[in-house]
Formats: sequence, C-alpha cells, structure tokens
Amino acid sequence: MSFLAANTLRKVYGDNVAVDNLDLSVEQGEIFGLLGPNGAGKTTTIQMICGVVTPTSGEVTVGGFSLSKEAPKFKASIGYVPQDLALYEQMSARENLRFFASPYDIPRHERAARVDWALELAGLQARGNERVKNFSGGMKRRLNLVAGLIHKPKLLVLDEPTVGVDPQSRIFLFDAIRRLRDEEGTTVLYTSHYLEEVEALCTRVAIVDHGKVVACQPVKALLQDSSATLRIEFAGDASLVEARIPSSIRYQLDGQELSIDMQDCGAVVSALQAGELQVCSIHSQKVDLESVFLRLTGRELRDEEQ
Amino acid sequence: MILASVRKDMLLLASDRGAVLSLFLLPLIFMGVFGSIFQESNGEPDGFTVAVYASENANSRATDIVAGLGEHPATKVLQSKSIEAVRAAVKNETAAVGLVLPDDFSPMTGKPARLFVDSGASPPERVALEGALSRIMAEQLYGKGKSTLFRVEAAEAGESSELSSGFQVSVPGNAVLFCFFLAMTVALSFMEDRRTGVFRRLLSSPAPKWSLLLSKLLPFFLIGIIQMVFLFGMGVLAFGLDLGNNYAGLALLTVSIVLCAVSLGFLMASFGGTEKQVGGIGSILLLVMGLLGGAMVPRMVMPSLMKTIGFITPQAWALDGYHALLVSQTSTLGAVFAPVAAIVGFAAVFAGIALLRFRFE
Repeated sequence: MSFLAANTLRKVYGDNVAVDNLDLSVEQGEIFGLLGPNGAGKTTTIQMICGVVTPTSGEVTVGGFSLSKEAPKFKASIGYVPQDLALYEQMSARENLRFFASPYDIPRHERAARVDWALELAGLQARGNERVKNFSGGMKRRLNLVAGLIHKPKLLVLDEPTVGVDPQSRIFLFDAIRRLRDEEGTTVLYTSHYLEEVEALCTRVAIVDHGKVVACQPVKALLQDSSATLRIEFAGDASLVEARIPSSIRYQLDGQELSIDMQDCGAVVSALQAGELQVCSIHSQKVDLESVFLRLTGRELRDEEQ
Repeated sequence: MILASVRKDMLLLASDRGAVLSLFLLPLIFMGVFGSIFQESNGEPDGFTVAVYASENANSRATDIVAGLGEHPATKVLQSKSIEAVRAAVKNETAAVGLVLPDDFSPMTGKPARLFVDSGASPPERVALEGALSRIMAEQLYGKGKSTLFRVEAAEAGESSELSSGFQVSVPGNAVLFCFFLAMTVALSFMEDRRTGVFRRLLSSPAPKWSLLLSKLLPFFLIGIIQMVFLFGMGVLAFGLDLGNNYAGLALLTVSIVLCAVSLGFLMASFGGTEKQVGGIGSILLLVMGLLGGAMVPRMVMPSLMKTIGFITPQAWALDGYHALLVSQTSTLGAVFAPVAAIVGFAAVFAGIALLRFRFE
C-alpha cells in the first residue's frame, strides 16, 4: 500500500472542475514531483491532500490514516508549506516556530530543542531571535519551509517553495529536503512549474493538466520515452498553419515558430511546404520535461494564459 | 494552541504602533479633550435653583418633593405660579432647571413630573441636573438611603466635583468608541492570516476549525478587556472618574461590550474584501455607529428621533448602561440588565452571521 494515496479526488467550484477524479500514489521516502502550469489544479490537489480544502469527492490516506475518518492522526503526519510566506514578520523566527508548533502534540520538554533543530536546518541559528521582517527573501523561504516540519511530519508537502528565491537559497532548500528524506525518512510531495527543479530533486513525477494526471512515471523514464522537440521557423501566413497540419499532430505555434515532436518532423515539414509556407530553419531542443509536457498536453508548461 | 495564540497576538499588538495608538493612547487624548470641554461648560458651583410648580390640589407625593427640594442643601426652590412661569424662569436663567408636578403625581404609574432644562445647557450640565434632581426626588419618594438609583452631593466651591461630572461622560463615551475600533484590528488580523497563508498552514494541522477560530478570537477579547481596564483606570487616575459602587454591573457591562466588539470584527472579516477596503469602510462604519450611539455626542442632547435610532447600535446601549452606573450611580445589577442583554444580543447576531459567512480561504 502506498504511503500517500489519493483516489479519484475531485473538486468542483461552481461550474469549474478544478480537479477531475485524480489518482496519485507516493511511496514512503520518495520525493515526488507534481508538475503542471498555473491553473492546472496542482495547488487544489495538494490542498485537498493536506486537508485545507475539502474534496467534492474522493479519498486521501497517508500512512494508512484516512483524512475523512481519522483527520487528527492524518494531519499530524503531514507538514504543509504553502506557496505564500505564511509567517508573522513582526515576530522573531523562534517565536514563529514556537507558534506553528503549538497545534501539534509535541512534548513540552522537546519544544525548545525542536525549534533549535528547525533553525539549524534552515541555517538560521544565529538569527533565531531576530524579527522575520529583517530577513532576506531566501531566509524567509527557509523559515517558511522549516515552520512546516517543526513537528517532524512523515509527509512534507511543498507548494512551489522556491518562488522568488535566489539560487543560493534554492540550493539550500534542496539540500534540506534531501537531508530530511535521508535522515528522517520523510516522504516529500513537491509541486512546481520549474522543470529543472523537478528534474534535479524528484524521483518520480506526475504531470497534471486540467485537473487530471496526464502522465506519472520516474523522471528518467519519462525523459527516455520522449523524443526531442523541434522548433521550426517558417515564412508565410501563420493563420494557415492550423489548416495545413494534420489534426493528429500536437504542436505549439508562437508567431512564426512551431514547436513539435521530432517524430512529427517529416509530416509537419511536408504539410507546411504543401501549404505554401516556407520552412526557414529547424532547431532541435534537448529532451526535458518542457518538451514532454508539450508532447502530452499540447501546451507549454509556463504558458499562464492557458 | 490557545495560549500560544494569546501570546502571539500580544506580541503582535505590542509591535504594532498603530494599533496601540488607536486602542490605548488616542482614547486617552479624546477623553481629556472632551472631558475638559464638558468641564468648562459645567457651571453650577454650589447647588442649583429649581423653579417648581405644584398646584394647591397636588397630592402628597408632589408636596413632599417640593418640601424635600427646599430642605436639600444642593437645591434652592423657586416657587412658581404656573407652568409658564417655570418655563420663563429656566429661559431667563433665574433657575437652572424647572419642575412641574402634576396633581396626581405618581411616577410608578405613569404620572411623572415634567422637567424643563435650558436647551443651551451643556450635556454634562444636563446630566448633572437630571441626575441630581432624580436622586432627590427618589429620596423623597422611597426614603433616604433606600434608593440607590442616584447620588448627588452639594458641590463645594472646589474643582473635583466639577471635573468628575465632565469626565463621567467623556471617559465611558470614548472608551466605548475606541473599544469598538478593536473590531477593525480583529478583522484585519483575520484578513492578514488569510492573505499570508497562515490559515492554510493551520488548517493542515490537527487543530479543529472551532479551535482555530477560538484561538483567533480569544486573544482579542483579552486585549479588549485590557484596553477597557486601562482606559477606565486612567479615567480614575488622571481624570478623577468616579466608578460608583456597582463594580459587578461595571464588569458585566464591560465584558459584554468587548464581546460585541470582537464579534463585530469577526463579522467584518467574514465579508472578505481587501485589507484596504475593510480599513476604509470599517472606519466609517465604526465612526457612524459611535456617532449614532452617543459615543461622541451624548445621547441626551440628541433629538428624540435620533435617540431612538441610536438603539440600532450597541454603542447606545453601552452608554446607557454606563450612564446608569457612572452618572446615575445605580447600584443594582438590574439597572444594566437591559443594556447587557441588548449588547449580548448584538454580539450573538454578529457572530451568528459571521459563522454562516466566514471562510478560512
């Protein structure tokens, strides 16, 4: 049985289906990535997994505890790090950690040591008594992270934790996450729309689009299964492209440039030339999750407009 | 969790200069300024003259009142021959106040006396005259020492009694006005926790929602109590406020007011919007409520329609309660029953609507 299992999770807001019968399973000690563009439903998904948002239907279990039947035990197993800096800036780092530890059943004599441990993990031991408002963005992010694991959760859920973070702090965060996995056996569910982060950190990834999982595989396998992306620059009336390219081929049109899978190259080039569109250049692109995502969904991962 | 929340909100309040200023220091300044204005216009040094009219056919209650006023050291009776003469005496300031006693004078059965007060008199002057006269009349009707509704003393030529009468109005008025500003602090705190994701983080914890709400509201209730104790304490120490002797009534009324202010803040938070919107609309709402409720201009100088309209605000009930305790110096708990019941009713309605509307997200 998976450590985290989400079964047919569904969330509907009015007419909008934010998450559509999503299934997910994560093994113990795994760092699992949830990848998708803004609006794909990944934040709603993890908020349902953390008990922040009540699912319209479906069930979640963590470590054998059901959210709907054993909510206190379920929630005690989870550490949630929201996308926003959920901190009190007027209080010190230490005071913040003490407060966010308070809903959990941490023995009184362990609390101070737990706060020290979290400060050490965040690299903030020397500044524990300083007000958070004086911290840099990266320091706040690190504190935001450790505030979610002050109770040493078995599952750590991170919602885009590196937004606005400098490279140095990003490396620090990654190291901290790996350390948690290695030393504490913590399972990590990590959402991002930064592909390189997921590639660098996660063992498996689920790609989410329109509230559904469109692929769920080990990162390496996903990349191996995919062919490279080609970018074709062409001349002529771009509005003709849709009519010329067969509907079975997935592509992304950006001005006078088409992004396609390498395997479709021949068909696309032929279609463009038959349609009086002149191919000017063809560039191949490294196989990465961006190209995988494009192949699977027909959308670019960071295209916020869609 | 609840204790940690109390500690956290105390720390946050201490670091928020704006909140400290608006909840603790600004009311003190207002109390001082308004109290001094009332004091300046409160000019009855050694008792006051009452123009009295009671016909030859007046009953014994009426004649007892006239005799009692004549004997009382705080009043000097000017016997008038008609109602018009009473009115004229007040108008030309021969008498501070006029009293017309009907032949069948019986206040308990709906046959009250008529009181004429100079419409140009200051609010504290009116309060003092009305209170003093009521006390003397109550003593005559129910016996000295038995009535606990009012207390009046012949004012010496010194300053203390004059000062206290002005501040008996300004201290509770401003305490109530600024206590309700706590609602803004409550609402903004809720909205900040929603905006920053603190609620999301806490919702993922094992703490049930009711516990999160209680942890959010209780600290502000305690802050409100501290605020009121501070303001009334400063009223006593700095402005010579006389708290009377009905401490239980005072405590009950004050607790209900703070409860109502916190509930109002919860209601404001439940309507959502941005912190800027709540800050702007909330300030206007609280000022209008304070104005209607008599926190800025005493209700006794308002036209009767405005007085009646004022009862749609908890502030009006609160100030009526404080009037009974601090001006009329009522010593029975029953005197604050109606205000407390009304204020708790407001609190329940505010909290009820808020609970229906409120979303953590």
